[in-house]
Amino acid sequence: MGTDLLPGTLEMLILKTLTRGPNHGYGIAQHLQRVSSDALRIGEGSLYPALQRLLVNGWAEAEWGVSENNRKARYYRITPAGRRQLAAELRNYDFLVAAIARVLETA
Amino acid sequence: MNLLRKLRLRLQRRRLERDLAEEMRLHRELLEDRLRGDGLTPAEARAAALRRFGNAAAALEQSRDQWGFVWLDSVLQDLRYAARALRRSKAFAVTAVLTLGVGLGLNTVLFTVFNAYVLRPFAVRDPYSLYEIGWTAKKIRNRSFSLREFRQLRERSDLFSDVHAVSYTLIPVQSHSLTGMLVSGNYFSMLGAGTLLGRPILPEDDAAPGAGPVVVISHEAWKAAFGQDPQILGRKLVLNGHPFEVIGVARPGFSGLRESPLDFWVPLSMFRELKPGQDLFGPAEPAHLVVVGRLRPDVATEQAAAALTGFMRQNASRLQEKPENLRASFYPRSSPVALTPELVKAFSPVFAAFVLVMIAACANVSNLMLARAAGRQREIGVRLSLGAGRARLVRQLLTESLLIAILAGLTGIALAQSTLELGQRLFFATLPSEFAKVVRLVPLALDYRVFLFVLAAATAATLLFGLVPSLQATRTVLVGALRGEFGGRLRASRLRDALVVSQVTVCLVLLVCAATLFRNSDTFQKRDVRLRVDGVVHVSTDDARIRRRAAEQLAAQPGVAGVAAVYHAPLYGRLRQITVTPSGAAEVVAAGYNFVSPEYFRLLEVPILRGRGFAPEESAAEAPVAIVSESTARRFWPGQDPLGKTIRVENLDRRYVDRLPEFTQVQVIGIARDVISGWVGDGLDPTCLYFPTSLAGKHARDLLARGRPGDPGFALALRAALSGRWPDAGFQIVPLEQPLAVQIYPFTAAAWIGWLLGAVALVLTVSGMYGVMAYLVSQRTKEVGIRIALGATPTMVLRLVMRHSVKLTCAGLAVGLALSLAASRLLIAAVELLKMVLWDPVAVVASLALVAAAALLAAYFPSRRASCLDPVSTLRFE
Repeated sequence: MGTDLLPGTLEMLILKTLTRGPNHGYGIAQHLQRVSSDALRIGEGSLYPALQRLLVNGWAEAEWGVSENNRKARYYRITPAGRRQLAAELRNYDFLVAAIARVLETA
Repeated sequence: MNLLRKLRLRLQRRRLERDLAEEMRLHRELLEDRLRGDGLTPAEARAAALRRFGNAAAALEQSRDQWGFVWLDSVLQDLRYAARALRRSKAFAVTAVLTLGVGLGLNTVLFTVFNAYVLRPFAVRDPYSLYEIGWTAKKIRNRSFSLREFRQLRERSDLFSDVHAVSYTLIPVQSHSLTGMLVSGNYFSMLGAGTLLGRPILPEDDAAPGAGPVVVISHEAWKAAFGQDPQILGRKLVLNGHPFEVIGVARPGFSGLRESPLDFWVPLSMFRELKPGQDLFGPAEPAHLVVVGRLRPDVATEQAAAALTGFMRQNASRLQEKPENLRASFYPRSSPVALTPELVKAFSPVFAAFVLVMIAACANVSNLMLARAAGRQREIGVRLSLGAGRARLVRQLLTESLLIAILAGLTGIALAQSTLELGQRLFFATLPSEFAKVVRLVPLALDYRVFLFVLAAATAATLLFGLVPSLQATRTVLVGALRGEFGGRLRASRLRDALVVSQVTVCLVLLVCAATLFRNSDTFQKRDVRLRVDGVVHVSTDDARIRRRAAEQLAAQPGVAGVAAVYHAPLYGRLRQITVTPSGAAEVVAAGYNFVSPEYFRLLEVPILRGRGFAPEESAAEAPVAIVSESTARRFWPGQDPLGKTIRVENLDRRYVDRLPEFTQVQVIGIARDVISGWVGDGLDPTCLYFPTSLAGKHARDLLARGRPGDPGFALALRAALSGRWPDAGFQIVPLEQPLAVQIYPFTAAAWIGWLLGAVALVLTVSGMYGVMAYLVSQRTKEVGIRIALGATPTMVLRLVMRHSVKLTCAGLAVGLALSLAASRLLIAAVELLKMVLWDPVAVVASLALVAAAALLAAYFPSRRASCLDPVSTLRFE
């Protein structure tokens, strides 16, 4: 099971992953785990609802394809709206982190 | 955007679910592969993967939740359920949809016409800033100006950003007529009305009298009269004997600022050519122009009217009014008919009639729903006891109403479309042919406003007929409902009774109106105008130069028994009025007058009762003599011999200065029998002075020719003869029976519309009454069975059940009678001009009898059924 994330952060991480290119659910989970040096283990119970949210909001599109080891896989691709959303979330995130940092420094 | 995407996703829901499940399965397999790669046995890897993955069902469920279909799903569920419920009771569904559809359809027709004439603005630039300028005095309102006044108004750039002037003209062209407008050079640029082909009329065309023999034709005329000829530009169009070069075809959708669409536009500079005898540019300065200004955005109409009042007063001498009485006034020109309080008042009876039909339809459907809801109490009780919320149940029932309303709306639109098409075809088919050529209707298309209207009306109807039954149905006390006993029955039956009463009321009011209109049109039709019009043909031409030779040509035609000349042809509206003083009288009076040639009296068989007719030399000289009608003689000189008396022509009203006799004193030489020469509704002319003229006379404007009666080819033969000799001149050739028919036409048409509405209301009432009685009887089956078992005879049962319907019918009739009485009182003021009889006992009694009979008949059959019940089977069933 993964570490608790701030609400909405998971979408941001998925979108960021997708900017590297289309990827499938398993690949996204693997990527997040690898890049975060195993710190973030995304449970499928939260990964798939998050992916559906991206689809519903039009931030990502899904398409069936073939994975690198010749298996059928559903690839998610980030949309222009998704890129805009990612930018907005990153701004928010920076703001939030800066605010938290300031609180921690003064306390 | 988001909702749309959701809807699209919802439509692919099945695929979405499949995809999600599939991709989760693949995820698990990939995980399994990797774990096997790490050295686990297949079985261990599988177990570990499943463990890692966690609760797959929960993940699936949570993912689904993200789609946000829950709300949508419940609506769809409601709709599906409602559709199923309606399919189960087809008779109910069809009746309800048709009933409501007819109501909506009729109202859509009315609204479409209203929309086309009143709401939809002209397709010109900023139509809402356009105002027609006019002036009002004490009792007179007028909107005509002279050329000089128009030029002065054009200078008022403090009030208007631009001002144009127009003059309407009707040009007979061979077998049909073209309606057109003489327009000032800035007309097209001011309105922003471009052309599809060629160029519009420009200020250069209007620079000097006779400068611009050019014409722009409307898109409709281009299609109808010229077969959309792409080579039309540069062709010559002969109007009133003068060639005009076609320079443009107007943009589709633009057809002028009149109530009826125009066929062509020519520059005002060609006024003399199209309207000879009324020299716009001459020293007499006749007021023949309608002036329309575009008000500057920073100027209010009141402000502009105040500013122009001074201008109007400067011109008071022409207007023959006291300056202090004169006011300037502004009339909106944004749509064919401006939306004013007067308009709303004048047409409120029409709106009321259509709304009444809608109410009757809603009452009917409401009643159906109520009966149905009562029949479904057990079902609703079960659902309540299973835990359905009341709000959810109301929503369910309302969805059912909404579904009916949507279906009814579609039916209504289809019905309206076909009614409009049929109505227009019927209109042109029944209108006397010579007038049908001139009449143009604004395109009556269903546009988005109409759809919005139907949508709003259907929604309102849903609330009206759906809400009350569903609220009542769900108010049920749970335990009672399961047992089949319902609370609030009293309330429901009272509402039902009120609905039946209102239907009877509406039906009676509509039928009384229809019958009254019909009786009036019948009276007018049968009224003897005392003119022998059959076989008489009215010939007119605007070209004064050929009138006399045309008269000779007519007289030489085979079959022509006589030709007469007249200033104002009879039956074309009221006689012109002048002010005169009869000898011996102290006061000036207004009297109708006409110029006629001696042949007039013989031609139309108007006997000279006393004295003599005009002598040839009198008519040739237009001598100062007059023949007066009987009524005139009685009014001017009661109890005296009118022959030899004199009348002084006061010539106060110089507005028609070119048409007044040149003498100031005339001698009465004969008495003619009273006739109706103006408006049939007015009856015999109250006053009529005949002054002499001849076929060649200055005041002879129109010609009348008598041929063989009942010969439809006569008018055609005359047309052939006249256009053969003067191919370029336009002649209007109309059998004199036609203006008479046109006068009666509106009443006949209104009566037919009234009948239609009345018939619809009657059908609704009968079906409503039948439905309610049938329902009540079925509810009282047990009671009736017991009564019969205890010895009640069929007659007693019949009376018992019928008593209720009789009570309802009587109540409805009483209210309806009172309403019709009140309505006729209100209408008398509104339609005073039409001289209608508005309280017609025959019409009222006939309608009363019809409605009463229909309502009782509708109630009789269910009651009969009740009286024939078999008590044993009834009681056993219960």
